[in-house]
This record gives sequence, structure tokens and C-alpha cells, in this order.
Amino acid sequence: MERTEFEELYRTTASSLRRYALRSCGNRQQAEDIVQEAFLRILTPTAQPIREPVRYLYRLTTNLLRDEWRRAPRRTEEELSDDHPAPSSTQQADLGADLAAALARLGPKDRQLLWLAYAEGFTHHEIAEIMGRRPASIRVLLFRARQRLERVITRGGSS
Amino acid sequence: VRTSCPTEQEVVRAVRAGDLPPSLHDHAEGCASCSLALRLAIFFAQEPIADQVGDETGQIWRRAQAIAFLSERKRPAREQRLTTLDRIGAASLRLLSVLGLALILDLAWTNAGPLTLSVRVVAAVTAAALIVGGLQILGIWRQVRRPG
Repeated sequence: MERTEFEELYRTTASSLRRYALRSCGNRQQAEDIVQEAFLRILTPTAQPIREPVRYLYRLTTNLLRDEWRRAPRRTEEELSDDHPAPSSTQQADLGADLAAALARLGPKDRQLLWLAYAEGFTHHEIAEIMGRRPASIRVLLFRARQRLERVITRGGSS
Repeated sequence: VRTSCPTEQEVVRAVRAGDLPPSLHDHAEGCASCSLALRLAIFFAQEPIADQVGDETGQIWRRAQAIAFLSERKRPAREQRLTTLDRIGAASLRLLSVLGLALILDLAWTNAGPLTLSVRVVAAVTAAALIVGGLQILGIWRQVRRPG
């Protein structure tokens, strides 16, 4: 990869990749380290040319996050629920706060899936490629993640 | 079958583009699947851009270059070391073969009679040749199995 190509990729992807990593692991420093490592690894020569660098970066980041969870399975989600700016209206604030709290209570894999599908707008097929799974599994996993999210929101609202 | 609404993707794309047509908005309000997708997409879109820690491209690029440089440097050194071992093994084998042959011939000629080679000498020369040859084969095998 040429340096200009790399700089362009970094400029267009680094921010959303950081948010993805932060949303998944809940630790700003860890997210930053993982994103830097992913960008470093994309520069490592590979046997086959990289066809989709953005998706490849997401895959690298996902694998690095997985490695991190294997090393330290339970980390505190200290920075997830207080990361949003104050919304403009009270109703929006309630909705945002509900979602932020509910997402923080989900498992990291559910948060990853929801982010890839609803923040990045990736298709099931693309998410499957990023997470190293089959598209059919992603459909089911995403459905379950949504169900869990809805349950947490409902429980949060009723309590 | 556990599937979500096929319009979900369209809703997410529209939110990402910052242009949600009223028709899609109306659909999302009446569809449980798209309503959650819409909430999530809006929520994620409002997430603040992660703090710009600075342009680290230069730093990452230099680190990648250094890693590539070091791995390139390591490779010839290892190859050279194996080749040297290989050469020493081959030379020793040849030397021993020559010495062994010379010894056999010397014993055969100086006795001036029927061949009276000592079994001990032959066994020693053969064993030495086998050891050195074995080491050489080991060296070649290691070289073939070397990764990358």
C-alpha cells in the first residue's frame, strides 16, 4: 500500500473505527491502541491483495477486540453510557439515555453486531465477512441482539 | 423465520446520508423492526466523533517500515547461518571420505598381501561419515521447513 493511499484510508476510516472499538470494548485507551494496531497490521504485507481495505480494517479490529477479551474477559464499561452529547429535547434525551444505558448492559458481541448493522450500515454478508461467520448466523445473532436490547429497554422502562 | 424487515437497511442508509424521506419515516413508525433500527441509527449517528488524537499516520507508517526492515534483515542472516552450517557439513563429509579412503588404500597397499583392513578402522570411518552426513541432512531439512 502506498503512503498516500494509507493516509486517505486513515482519514476516512479512523474515526468510525475508533467509535466502533470504543462502543465494543468501552475503554477509550484500549480502543485507541486496538485501532492503531489494526492500521499497523494493514500495512503488513499479505499473501493476497486486500480488496476491501475498510472491511479488512473492521475485521482486524474485531479480531484484536476478540483477542483482548480472551486475555481479560470482563472489563468495566466505564465510558459507554456517559459518552453521548446532551440531546436537544427532553424526549430525545430520554430516548438517548435509554439506549445508551441498554447498550452498555449488552454483551460486547451484541454491541459489535448492532454497531456494524445500524451505525455502519453493513449488510449481513459484510458483517459475516468482518466477524468471520456465515451470513445466516449473523441474521440470527443480530435478531437475538435486537431482542436482548428490546428486553433491556423494556425492563429499564418498567423498573 | 426470524428475520427483520427488508426496509431496515434502507432506513439505516437514509439516516447515514442524513436524508430520511417522509415515506420511510412513516413506515418506520408503524414497523417494530424498522422503528428500532431507526432509533439505533439515529443514536449511533449522534455519537460524537472520537477525539482526534492527532494524525498518527506518520508514526504508524514509520513503525510498519521499521518492522518490515527488521524482518528483512533477520531473514538473510538466518539463511546465511544455515548455508554456512551446510557448507561446513559438506566439507567435513568430503574431508572424512577422502581421509577414510586414503586410510583404506594405505592399509591395503602397505600390507602387501591380502587385504587386512582392521574392522575397527572401517567402523570408525563409516560412523564418522554417517554422523556428518546426518548433520548435513538435518541442516537441509531445517532449511526446507523454514517458514516465510
